[in-house]
Amino acid sequence: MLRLLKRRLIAFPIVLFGMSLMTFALTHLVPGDPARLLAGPHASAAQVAELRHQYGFDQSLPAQYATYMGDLAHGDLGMSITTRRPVTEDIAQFFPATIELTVAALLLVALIGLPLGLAAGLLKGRMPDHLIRLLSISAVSMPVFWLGIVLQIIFYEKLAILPASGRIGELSIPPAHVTGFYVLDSLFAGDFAAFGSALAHLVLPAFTLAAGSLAVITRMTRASVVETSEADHLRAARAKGLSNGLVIRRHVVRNALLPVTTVFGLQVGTLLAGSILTEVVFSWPGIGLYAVNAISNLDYTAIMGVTLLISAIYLAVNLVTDLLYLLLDPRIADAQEAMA
Amino acid sequence: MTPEPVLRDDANRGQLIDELLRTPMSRRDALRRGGMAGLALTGMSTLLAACGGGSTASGSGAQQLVMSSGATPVTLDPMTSLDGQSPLLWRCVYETLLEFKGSSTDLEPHLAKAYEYDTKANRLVFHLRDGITFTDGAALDAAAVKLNVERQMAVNQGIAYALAPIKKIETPDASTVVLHTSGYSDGLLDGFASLYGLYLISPKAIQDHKGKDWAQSWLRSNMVGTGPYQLENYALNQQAAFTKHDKYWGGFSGPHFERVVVQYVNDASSERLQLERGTSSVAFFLPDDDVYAMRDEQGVDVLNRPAFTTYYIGLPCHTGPTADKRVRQAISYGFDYDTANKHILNGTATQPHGPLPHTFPGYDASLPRYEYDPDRARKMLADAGHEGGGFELKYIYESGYYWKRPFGELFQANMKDLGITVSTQELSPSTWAAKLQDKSSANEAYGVAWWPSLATPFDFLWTLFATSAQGSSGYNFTYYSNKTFDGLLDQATSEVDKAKRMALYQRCQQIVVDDAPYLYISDVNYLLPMASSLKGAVFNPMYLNVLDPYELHT
Repeated sequence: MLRLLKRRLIAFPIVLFGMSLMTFALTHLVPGDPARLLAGPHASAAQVAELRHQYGFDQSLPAQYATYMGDLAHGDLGMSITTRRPVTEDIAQFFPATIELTVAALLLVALIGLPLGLAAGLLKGRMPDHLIRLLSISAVSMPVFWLGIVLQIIFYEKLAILPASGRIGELSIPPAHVTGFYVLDSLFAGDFAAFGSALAHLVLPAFTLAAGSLAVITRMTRASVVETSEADHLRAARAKGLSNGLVIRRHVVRNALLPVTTVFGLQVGTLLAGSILTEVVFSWPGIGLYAVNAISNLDYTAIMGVTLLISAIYLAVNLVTDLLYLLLDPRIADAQEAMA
Repeated sequence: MTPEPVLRDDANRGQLIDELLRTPMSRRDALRRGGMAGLALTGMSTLLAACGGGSTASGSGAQQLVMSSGATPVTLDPMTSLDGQSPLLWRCVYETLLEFKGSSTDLEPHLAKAYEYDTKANRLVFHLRDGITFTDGAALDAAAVKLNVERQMAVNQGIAYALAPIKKIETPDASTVVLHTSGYSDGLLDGFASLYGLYLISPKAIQDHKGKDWAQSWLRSNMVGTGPYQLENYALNQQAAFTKHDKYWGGFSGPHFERVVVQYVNDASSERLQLERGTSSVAFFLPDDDVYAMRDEQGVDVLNRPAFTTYYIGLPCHTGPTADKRVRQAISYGFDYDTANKHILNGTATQPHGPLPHTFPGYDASLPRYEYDPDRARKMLADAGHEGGGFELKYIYESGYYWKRPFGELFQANMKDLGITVSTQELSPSTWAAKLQDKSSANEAYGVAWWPSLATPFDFLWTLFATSAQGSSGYNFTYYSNKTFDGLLDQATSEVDKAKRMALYQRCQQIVVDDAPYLYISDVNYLLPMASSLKGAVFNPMYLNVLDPYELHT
């Protein structure tokens, strides 16, 4: 396990360096003048030139990259040209919103997807199984933006029980930053009105974001349960006289969850990436919406910052998933040791 | 929202209690279920109560105004940007020395109680109102104005270009500011009143956070002004909330909102839904099609007023067949203006005589107008040596401007009738700008909109036509150049006599109509969907995409 950890930790900065180089090259290949865009149509040439100088766009590309990497080594991601703030400050503000949304979506995936998959697997070929599979296919087939709008129409316009967009209601003041999660921060502040508002605002975007992953996890769990249920050792366990409930708890669930863990880990990355569309539809002020604005304004530093952040998270989540895998199934660790 | 959710909560509570009473259970079960039910009920009631209470557009007793915007602001610092979205927030907190009166371009004193512009002595004097304070307690006096002018010139962004003639500032007493200028410059006074004008920031805030950047890093997310509202909280890309400034010099005795919230709603359908449901009272930056559709919506009024916004199609004047003035004139006769204005823009625009909008100072209705006449266009093309067209042209437009694509398609169809092959391409805004700014690569036709920041024809004529405004220097991406025009424009902007100045601007317009570097297509009304219950909105076309919340009430 240590060997794997060491190998991955060495690869980590190399992959990030590659990502930074690729993102820098790609964003700068696109012809564009962010300084003119930012200055606005009424700005004079002197004003545009001033901005260009201020953000270092008047330097050569290698010089710009070298400056960027030098600053990055000191934890400085540069200044965003759209928000005119340090990118680190922007990320510190927007990223918790995305994490809050992703965690809520993951909770929904785990709390709904796993039981549904388990039920479908155990009741294979029966009506609940067909129904769950139909729901899964529908959920995975629905585009996020469409599902989001439909949910808004049903729960906001028609039923009037949930808000349409944003992170908190206009009557509430965003809570003081502790974790950056409004649901938690409002509780810490003892502001229950803000807590309720933040929770209500979280429901529709979290469900919209979760829908696709929920279907994947349900299907995966079902397949895994079906496969595990047909294993020989289960027949032996039943022959020993173990109750069905015990067999399911001890043998089916535990073994079936092993491959699901990997997929679950990968879904974190999928949800983070998928949050972009969800954030746009629900005006959720997270890193996805920030990235969209950055891309349309060709905000180089913001694009770089977001890409590096998402890449780092993706790498970290994959590493944690692999380690978890080793913990859940010691045979894999043994096999790795043997190979070494 | 309605109180319905609360009633549902009560019903749920009743059902759960019934169930608990009816079902036999052990003490442990009862405790577990009771605890869970309690948690669920508390969560549910908090959630629903929050949902029900957080969505009323005007709050209880019409104390709160909620406006939504589909575009986010760049900065809260009014001296550092010329973007179209930030002024909505600036004008809640900051004020200018002068203002445009009502819906006109006439200037009137605002924070200044009077002003004199001695054009012979090149001296502009402001006499300030007494007793005005910023929300941090600092006084609005001559020193505060001087510091603000100095900051604006030092940061050299925003309206700084219009204040460039100012050479020296004197403060003979606490309520008098004397600005010495290098000469007369048309539009200088507008720099103290416009949408991007010199908004006055607390001198204490500037000094306390001055640093090396004149407090730019602090003021981009903080505001301290003299206006009717003060910033309560600001969450970028999310919302800005303002509460009333208790010591506002204008007072709060009339029907004014006590709290103003601007919410940023990125998705157009959500923004529209919120206005229709009454969660917000105004929806800024909605796509045109959504606004047209809302005209018949119950509970929503769409403000529809003449504005100073114009839409053109620019033609490359430095390269290709359109470098020939006769070809540009032929193309101008070959475009179907009525279809553009009546059908694409839904009858909310008319074809102007020349580049200026019809309600703008200096507009000349006697100028000839290119009417749609394909036969004449074909003949003119033949006379210019392009019998049956036979050349190609590319039309580029940037994403996000809803009218540019259909205009391009109409242009493509109309030019096909003349034998000119037009291809169209959508680009990102920055790519579009970068392509056109480079003279060597700018050889396309393009859709362009303009609205002025100063109430003078110079604003349109220099930016779009002057040789010195070519490429990134201004907005002249056609690379049109006419020395006679440039000379007349220079004379006009420094001409003190208004009648002579306007006559010079008129001659400038005659030249650019005849030379036809652009197709002058649309003089567009401003449309803004608002809740029918909202009263007091005064739209001034110089203050585009802005409403003064102090004037609004229900």
